[in-house]
Amino acid sequence: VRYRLEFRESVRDYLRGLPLSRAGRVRLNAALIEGAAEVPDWFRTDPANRPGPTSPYYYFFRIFEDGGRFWTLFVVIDDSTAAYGVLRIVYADCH
Amino acid sequence: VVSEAVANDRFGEAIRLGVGIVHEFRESVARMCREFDDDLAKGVEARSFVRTYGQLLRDTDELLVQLGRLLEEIAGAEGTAAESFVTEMRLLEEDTGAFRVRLAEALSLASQPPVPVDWDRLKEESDADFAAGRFTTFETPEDMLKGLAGRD
Repeated sequence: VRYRLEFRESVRDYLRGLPLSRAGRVRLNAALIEGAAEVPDWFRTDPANRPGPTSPYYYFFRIFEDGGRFWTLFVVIDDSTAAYGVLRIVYADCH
Repeated sequence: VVSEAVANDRFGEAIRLGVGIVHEFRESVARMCREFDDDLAKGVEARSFVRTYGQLLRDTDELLVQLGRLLEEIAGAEGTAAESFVTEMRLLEEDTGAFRVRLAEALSLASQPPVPVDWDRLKEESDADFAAGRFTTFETPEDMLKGLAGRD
């Protein structure tokens, strides 16, 4: 993977507690890999994916299906340490 | 042409042709459904999903309007030689309508703005967690999958 991901423990616990099936968890994992561990620079630096020009954060928003219903996943990542190959997952909301 | 054929049982060939065309439409709708399901089974970035499927919702709405008009025109054809055509049309309307419901629901969710975040507060709390060592990492994607596994 391109970046090592560090999770706030509260975010990790939140993601663990989601009522997803095994397949849903695989999708969640794939979203974190695509949106963070393997995120391309163009996506991370796109102003549309950042709260502001000086913000240390970017975010991604995905939709997937699990258990016959749709889920949206919003994840905020601190990329101020991207130059060192590290991204920090600081917030997640999935419903 | 189709409604004329339906109104006159003698246009058997035109009716068979019409049934074939509508059947192809149904297969096309089934293909779109599969692609839609496959995309959502993998998960899609929301804005890219809205760009890809937004136009399809408008096209689906237009198709349903046209189908509704045509079905009104041939409403009296039940019990005639054109019944197979009417049946196929109704099935197309049902398939398209069912697809439209799922498509609209997914688009509505993907179009919603994410939850509002208090960025200053997030930074404060996140920095405090980092200073206190309340961050964790996983060595590999497999470890991450295990580490984020729920209680299931």
